[in-house]
Amino acid sequence: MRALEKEITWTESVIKEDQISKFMKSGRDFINDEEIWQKIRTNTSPEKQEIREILQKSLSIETLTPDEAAKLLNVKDEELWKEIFEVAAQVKTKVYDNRIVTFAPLYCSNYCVNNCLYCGFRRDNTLEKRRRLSLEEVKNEARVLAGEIGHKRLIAVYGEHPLSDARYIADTIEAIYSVKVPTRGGVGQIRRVNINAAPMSVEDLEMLREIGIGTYQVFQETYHHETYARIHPPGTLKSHYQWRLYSMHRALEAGVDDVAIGALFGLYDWRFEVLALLYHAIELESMFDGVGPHTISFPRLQPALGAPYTQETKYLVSDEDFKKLVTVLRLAIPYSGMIITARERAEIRRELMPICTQTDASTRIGIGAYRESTNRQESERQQFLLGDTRSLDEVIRELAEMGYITSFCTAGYRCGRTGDRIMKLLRTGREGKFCKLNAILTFREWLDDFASEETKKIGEELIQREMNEIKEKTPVDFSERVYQELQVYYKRIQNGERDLYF
Amino acid sequence: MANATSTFNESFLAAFLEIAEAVKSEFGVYLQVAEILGKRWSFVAGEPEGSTFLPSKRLMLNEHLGLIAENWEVLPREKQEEILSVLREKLAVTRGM
Repeated sequence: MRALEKEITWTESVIKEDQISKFMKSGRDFINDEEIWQKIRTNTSPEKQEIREILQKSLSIETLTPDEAAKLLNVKDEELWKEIFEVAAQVKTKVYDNRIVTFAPLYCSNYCVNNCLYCGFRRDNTLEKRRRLSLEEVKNEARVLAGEIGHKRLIAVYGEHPLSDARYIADTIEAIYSVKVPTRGGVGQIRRVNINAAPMSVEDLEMLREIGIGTYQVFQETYHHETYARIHPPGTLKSHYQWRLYSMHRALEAGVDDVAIGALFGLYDWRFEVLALLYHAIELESMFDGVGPHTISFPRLQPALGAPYTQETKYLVSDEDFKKLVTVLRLAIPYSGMIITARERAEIRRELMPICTQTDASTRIGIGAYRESTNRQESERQQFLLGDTRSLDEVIRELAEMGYITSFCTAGYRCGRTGDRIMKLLRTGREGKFCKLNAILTFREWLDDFASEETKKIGEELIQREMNEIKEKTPVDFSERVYQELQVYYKRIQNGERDLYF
Repeated sequence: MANATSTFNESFLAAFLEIAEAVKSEFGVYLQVAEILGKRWSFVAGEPEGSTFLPSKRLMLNEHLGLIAENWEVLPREKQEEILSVLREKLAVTRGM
């Protein structure tokens, strides 16, 4: 009883209306449902030439307008879609080169005060086994991730509950950063912890900023007001649309300068959500000196135990539409990283990899599942079911065979490439050069510390090709000194040093 | 260029930007100031687009602020010490942040 009272008191203290209203204009938020539908309905039957001009704008790494994005969404010609996809891949390469950053989710707690109809963590789901990891258990998870699998970057995930408030989040992040594990050739350590957590006040975000979080990620789930109200029952924290919508405004105001947005596709019409994500990016850019979302996520609704809406919705997204929506997002917000996760089946991930920048592997989303579980999925302690349970070694080998280098780079946020600086580096294509250099170095580390013999062989061939490419681009794209430094760093890593970066 | 999301002492920033401009034009050294937040060195001010792509040197100015320098080693040692000393002094006077 006392725990419930405490929960109610906490819930009542979370939302700060003044931290929402200050950003609203004439009492309205920046998502105008009617306007979005009007863009979709009026920008039909675009001319091929018009589409090609839009593609050129995207290739210049300029954010598209909602009208332009709506035109892309309305393309019917399948041949033209192939062309659009190819340009999206060029945009990705121009900004991020051919590297794919890898990460793992670490679910810390599944207690939740909310009751979202599509989520396995919902309060009324009595089938879900509730658990919050102790700090020692968090460290145990990090030991497996950093010492056995070889991850360097995590996204820590928390339900919205007083047991997983900002203080707990801060403590878990520090616990993760403290873990160091000996590996075959050096030391394994998590170097960047991003978080996926509930909307927070500026004060809580300032606390998380002080301990040095990576990216702060909040998904709006659906941007459609009416649908949002329907699937987030009244009286719950999450039912407050604007508290969630302005999460990133508060984060940026608190000085958390890498923020990430996303929508859960399948809750409402996918074309609407794509344009709404674009409106969100434009709003952030205009309010915060050009700083838009560092990454965008586009999870598709998956079956979850005790979550009825996952079976009822009429908006589930087909594979074909999913490919289109990811492509349009890639083009509309060309500087943003694009995250495709293990929710998706291997074949979809494979198809979309040319336009994505980040992915996860060896993924386990049960609480405590890295240390405790076998490789099976456990619906009673997962938020949803995964589409791809392959190991990191398998995924990396496949990526290498496809010509993509897996990067474990976490250099940017440790040497000032954050906020408006990273935005400018991304928009000018300069960040991609750092990506190329750091991908080689971190990939070398991982091959030496964790790879199977088969993956190591393929990976080394890939590194050789990457090295040759850099040599060919010297001195036009890279100076002689940069090339020499790369050689020196590479040898030092082969000799057992770790965490060298540009 | 200063990060709009940060509020740092203007007098320190002005001094930093003057030094950064001078060492860039004379030595080709790129300097930034970053706020130190755990592992994160969060951009505050400096050259947003200039970069040699060489590994950066990270130098603490105090417990809150750091200097990120590309091509730092081309500076004569006395110049390196002078820059650090001027910036640290300025921070001590202005309390930095």
